[in-house]
Amino acid sequence: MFAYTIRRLGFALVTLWLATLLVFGAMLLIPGNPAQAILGIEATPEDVAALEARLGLDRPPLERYLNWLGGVLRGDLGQSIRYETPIAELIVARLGITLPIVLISLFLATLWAVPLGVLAARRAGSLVDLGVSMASLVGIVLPSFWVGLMFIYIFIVWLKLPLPTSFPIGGWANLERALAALVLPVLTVALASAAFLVRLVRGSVLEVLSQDFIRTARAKGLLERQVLYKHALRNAALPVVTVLGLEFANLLIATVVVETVFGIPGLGSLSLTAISARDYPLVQGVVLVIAAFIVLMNLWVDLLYALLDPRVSYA
Amino acid sequence: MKRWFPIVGLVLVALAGWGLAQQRGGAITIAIQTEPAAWDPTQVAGADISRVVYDNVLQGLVKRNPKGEIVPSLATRWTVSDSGLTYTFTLRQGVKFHDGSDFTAQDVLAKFNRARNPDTRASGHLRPDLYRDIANITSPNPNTVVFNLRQPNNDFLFILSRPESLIGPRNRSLAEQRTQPIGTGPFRFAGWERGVAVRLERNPNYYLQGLPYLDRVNFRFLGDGDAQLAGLRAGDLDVIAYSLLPENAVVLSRDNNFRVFSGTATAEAVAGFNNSRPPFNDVRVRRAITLATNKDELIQGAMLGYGTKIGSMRSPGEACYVDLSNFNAYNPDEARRLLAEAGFTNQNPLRFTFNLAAEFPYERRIGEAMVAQLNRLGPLQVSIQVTDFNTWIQRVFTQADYAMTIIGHVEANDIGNYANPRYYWRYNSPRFQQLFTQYLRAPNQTKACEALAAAQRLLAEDAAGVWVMSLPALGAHRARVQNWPEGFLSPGISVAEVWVR
Repeated sequence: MFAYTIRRLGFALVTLWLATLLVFGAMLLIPGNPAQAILGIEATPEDVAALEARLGLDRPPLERYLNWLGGVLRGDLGQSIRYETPIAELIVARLGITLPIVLISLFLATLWAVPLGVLAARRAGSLVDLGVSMASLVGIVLPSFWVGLMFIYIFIVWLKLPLPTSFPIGGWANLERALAALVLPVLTVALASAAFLVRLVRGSVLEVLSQDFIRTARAKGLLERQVLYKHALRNAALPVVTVLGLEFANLLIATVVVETVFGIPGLGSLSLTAISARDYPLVQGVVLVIAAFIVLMNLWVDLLYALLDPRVSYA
Repeated sequence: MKRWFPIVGLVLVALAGWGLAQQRGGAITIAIQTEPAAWDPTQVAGADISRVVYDNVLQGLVKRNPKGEIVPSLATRWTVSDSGLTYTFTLRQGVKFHDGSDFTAQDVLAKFNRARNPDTRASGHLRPDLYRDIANITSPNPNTVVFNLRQPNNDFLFILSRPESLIGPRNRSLAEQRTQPIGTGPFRFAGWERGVAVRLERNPNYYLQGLPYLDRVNFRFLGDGDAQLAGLRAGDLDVIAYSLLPENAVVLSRDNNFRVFSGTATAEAVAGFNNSRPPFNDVRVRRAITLATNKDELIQGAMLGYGTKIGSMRSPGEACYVDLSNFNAYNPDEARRLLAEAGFTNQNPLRFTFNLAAEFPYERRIGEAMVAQLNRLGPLQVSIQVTDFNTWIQRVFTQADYAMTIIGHVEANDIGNYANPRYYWRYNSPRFQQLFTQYLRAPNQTKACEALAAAQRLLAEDAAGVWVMSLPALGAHRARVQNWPEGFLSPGISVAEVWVR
């Protein structure tokens, strides 16, 4: 297990490096120039050239990449071109907003999806099952920017709940408003995520329930409750846990849309700003961090497997 | 004495009422569309930088007020010699920068010597070309600054009123000034929360007694029009400063809790041609496109009536404006005739791509509607390509690799861009360049306006672009916000005299 973990960590580092390489290449391919983006259309070509020199953008791409990589190895993500602040500070501040949204949403989504999914699976084919399936389909199909706007309309404009429509100025220092500002985004993200998870839980439980060992458990006279909770759920949890890990990474990226609708300065909106400003080092920094989360979640899921399923062994 | 008594009494009552009406204190939050990359307009260009800092944080010798007039700011008065070569400014006394240091003639000298340094890498100052006509600047005494020009320049005061001419302390580092500008304005720059907002706080030492009224002003970055509307309704925002979506303006104007304001600014929506290459190097084709564009329909349909029809590169609020809005007016038959003359018919239509930048809601919807109009004509087959603004800048603006596009030109008095054949319109008219020089060097205002009027006419005759409309300055504020500036011809959103109930 230990050797396996070490090996996996090694792979993870290579994956991360490849991710930075891909992003750097992609940013070179898309048109646009950060200096021109900063200066806009009133500046002269001379102004742009001067700014490029100040930002070091007149250096060859390979040199810029190696400089950046060298910095990363020393634990320095560099300076944002657009914001002129250390990238690490920006990312930490933004994660401080996005991580709570993602974690609470995921928790809520699981809390809703597991009972509903189990219920639908137990009563497969019934009206309850149909209702849950239809609701989840609607949840998956509705775009989250639309759901977000509807939530604003329903809860704030119509019901006049005292919720802010954007993250407060001052951020977490304004704790009450900051928490209130996260309510609707969390609901929006959780709803979409639950809609997706509920189908997975239902499918997974249904599959397990059709297996031989369940028939055996029932045959030996266990109560249906015992069959479900002791035997079926533990086995049905495996694919769900895998997907939860990936869903976490997924939500980190999916918040881009929700953060835009709710005016939340999180990691999603930071990556959007970074890309549209062609802030190369910032894009690389954000991608590196998100990639690191994905790799870590995958690793965690694999290790959890071994705990949940005694048949899985990494020895 | 007795005769005067009632009048004096009335004046006193009026003054007292006025004094009671304005309440000091409070805070407002104003939504603006984009977040600039820095806050010093001498180093970084961008309309939203000026909207926030111009005359709020940073000031220049003169300023443009909301009506577009050039009025005193850090200079209390000035004289211009008959030759037009010497400008003498009297500086305001007792002015302090936000860091507590004195504003002096030395700051003015340092600023403009930096501005006119052609080596922008050394100076870090944008657009030294604007200051090229300055031969030298001197300060014969601490209250006076004298600019000697090489040749007369009718735009000189206008240039001094531009955001690039704002003045900071001479010893301030450029990097600090970019992220935390220091000036002499009614508000000091209190902080920049990246991705969220800029915070301004009252300058307690402001030289105009009693101003500003507000304690704090936040400029919040919110690009999405619907998010802005929700914020205003929920009370998170007090003002949507500009770019209010027309449909939202209609909704808000029916609600007593809000005031919608609109007016003419200096932003022309220019559907620009690449004048240097086929098919738009042919004036017949350019004219045909202009004649095929129904501007009234665009203003009504795409902007719900907000916007002012224009016919050249100038907005009605600007000096020396000539109304050419009905020149080359909508005439589809004449458009088809001109296109046929140029060889394009329904059977052999002219095909080209129209580039749009996704980030600008007004221009994007106007552009899409305009393309629909052009396609209705018959001999035109126009396709739309939408990209992000940065791609647009690279392809259209920098490389001029395009046929036609539309964008708003916010800057005041920017007709001179047509005198630059390297500008992305690639319009190379020696006659226009000559007229523009005549305007700049004219001995008096009358002559200057004559030249500028001729320049506007020439552009329209040449159909060097389709100037669809002067985009509206369209915004809204909550009813508690009082004395919001009327007029939108200043580069800044000056909030010194705004107060809240």
